[in-house]
Amino acid sequence: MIDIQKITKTYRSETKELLVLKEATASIKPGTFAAICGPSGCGKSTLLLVLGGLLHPDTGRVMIDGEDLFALSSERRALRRAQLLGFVFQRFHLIPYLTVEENIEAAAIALRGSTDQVRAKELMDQLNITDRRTHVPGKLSVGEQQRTALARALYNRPRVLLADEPTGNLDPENAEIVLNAFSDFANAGGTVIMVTHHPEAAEQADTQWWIKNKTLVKG
Amino acid sequence: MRAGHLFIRELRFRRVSVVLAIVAAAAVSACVVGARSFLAAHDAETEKLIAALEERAADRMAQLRDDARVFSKNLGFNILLLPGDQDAGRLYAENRSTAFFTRKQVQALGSAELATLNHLLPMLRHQIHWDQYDGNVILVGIEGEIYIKSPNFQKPIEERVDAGMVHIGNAIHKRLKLQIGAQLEIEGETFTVKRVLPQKGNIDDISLLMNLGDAQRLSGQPGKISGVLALSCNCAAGDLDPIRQELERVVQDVQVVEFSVRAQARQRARSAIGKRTKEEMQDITESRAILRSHVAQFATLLVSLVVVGAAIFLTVLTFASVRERRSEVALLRALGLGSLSIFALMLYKAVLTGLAGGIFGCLVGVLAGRWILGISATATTPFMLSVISATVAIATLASALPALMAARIDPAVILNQE
Repeated sequence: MIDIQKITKTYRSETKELLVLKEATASIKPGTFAAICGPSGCGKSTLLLVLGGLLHPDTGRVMIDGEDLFALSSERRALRRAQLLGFVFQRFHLIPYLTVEENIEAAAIALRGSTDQVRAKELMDQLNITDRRTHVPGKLSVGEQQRTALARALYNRPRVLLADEPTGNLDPENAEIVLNAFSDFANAGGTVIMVTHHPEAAEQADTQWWIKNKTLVKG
Repeated sequence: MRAGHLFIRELRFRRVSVVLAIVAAAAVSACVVGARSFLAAHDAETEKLIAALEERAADRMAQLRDDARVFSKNLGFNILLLPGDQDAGRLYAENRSTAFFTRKQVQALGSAELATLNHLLPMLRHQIHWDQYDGNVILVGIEGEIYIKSPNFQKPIEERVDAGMVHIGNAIHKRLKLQIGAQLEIEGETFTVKRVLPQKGNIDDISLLMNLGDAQRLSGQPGKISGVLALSCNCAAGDLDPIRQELERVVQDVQVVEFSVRAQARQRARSAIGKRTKEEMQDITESRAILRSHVAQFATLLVSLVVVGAAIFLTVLTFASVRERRSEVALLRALGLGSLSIFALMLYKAVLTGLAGGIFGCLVGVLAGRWILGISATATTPFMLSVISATVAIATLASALPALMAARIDPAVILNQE
């Protein structure tokens, strides 16, 4: 269960303040594929970073299975992030000098565990990138890169997947592969929170939330 | 995947910047080792120069052994042969001869071709009271040399004194203010000063050196020879036995007395040479020390510049690397790596490049010292370890600030921007 409790976030610069989220509140149950929608710049990515414990809100709490993410120390929160969460970004953020397999296994870098090659192979088979196993990101198509990033997000068997415009750069075929993977993950009991401004992608989700007037509204 | 695997892959991926960092670190250690080798080479050269100088001095001292003979001639006689029944006490206390050689004995000495004695000079010594001097003086009558070994190669070192002429001792000269050509009267006879002898600090200073016949007449001992001076004898100092053995075959019952002035003369000669050599060595040592100080200052300046330059270069290189890896660092933070882990990851690279550069630089420095300067003993293990440690420390310190910046990268900003 993810509880988003009255999250407020303001970006401050020397000259101005920009209120992005104001007491955003939502509750998302396990096994849910949720989409957070809204136009560009409405604060979707900010909310996702807050949910991932990467951006500290001004006020409010993010509870994951009853644990307040921001009550933890920075190092402890980083570890919980590795254990509980998986990220998929619009720009993939693959490490350029690692192969597909190594990029997937890089998800376990913070857990200091031994590499689970069986798990990596399973994900590569599932996402149809096994034949690209030894290729570096520069040699992959955009769709293959995103599938590699998705495999990385799934590698640690997280409870929550956080996806920021995951289909923004993809062709329909690859977008469908990614969205289907999200549905499968939710069906297996995980929680998917995807921010998007594409209505077609949002329609694949079980529930839609909209950011209106800087707060979350269920669609 | 462990951080170590990521670290190694990153090093391979950015090998150009890694090699540049290693070269910069190597420049530091190579410079330190090279500077030390250079100074060691300078020291070795100094030692070589001093050793060569000492060797030259020894050669010169050996060559000047003959010169010492001439020194000794100027200061006094070497060996005095006395009749066997000469009373030594009266000779030393009163300068009075109690026994004399016969002319036959002297002629036998002169024609014996002695191996151990060179210049033989018959003489008569007799102390008189000289009114003009108002004190006792020694009349020394000499006839001229009667034997010179190898006369083709040696000339007499003591010339004869002509009749009516006199060589006056330095003390007499000073008291009576007698100059060359001055007339003086001894026992009613007039003599002309032919030469003023240099000050010798012994009884020679109150001696009047004259023709043997004149001395025999003035002392009332006509035809008598009180002793034979042997100049530049060929014997080791203090070892007169070979001379005695040789003399016994020619003349029976001869006393052989060594004049201490010979040893003194040689010692003075050697001291003079030794002193000059020592002064020269001191001059060279001092000038080499000044030069070494200048070289050391230059080496220190050079090493400092290289250290500062390398540190700046490593800092810039690490800054560039951090800037290039901002997205990667943000992702690693999103994957759960803490800021401390990011900091450590960056510093590991600095430590590794410092270590590799330190070792490589030491090798270059040692090999360069060996091949270019011919120095091989300067690079001791503790010194090498110190240089490598210092290189690692410099590389780590130079990378600390950029590594701190990497650790402080806000992943939210980077991931949101991109």
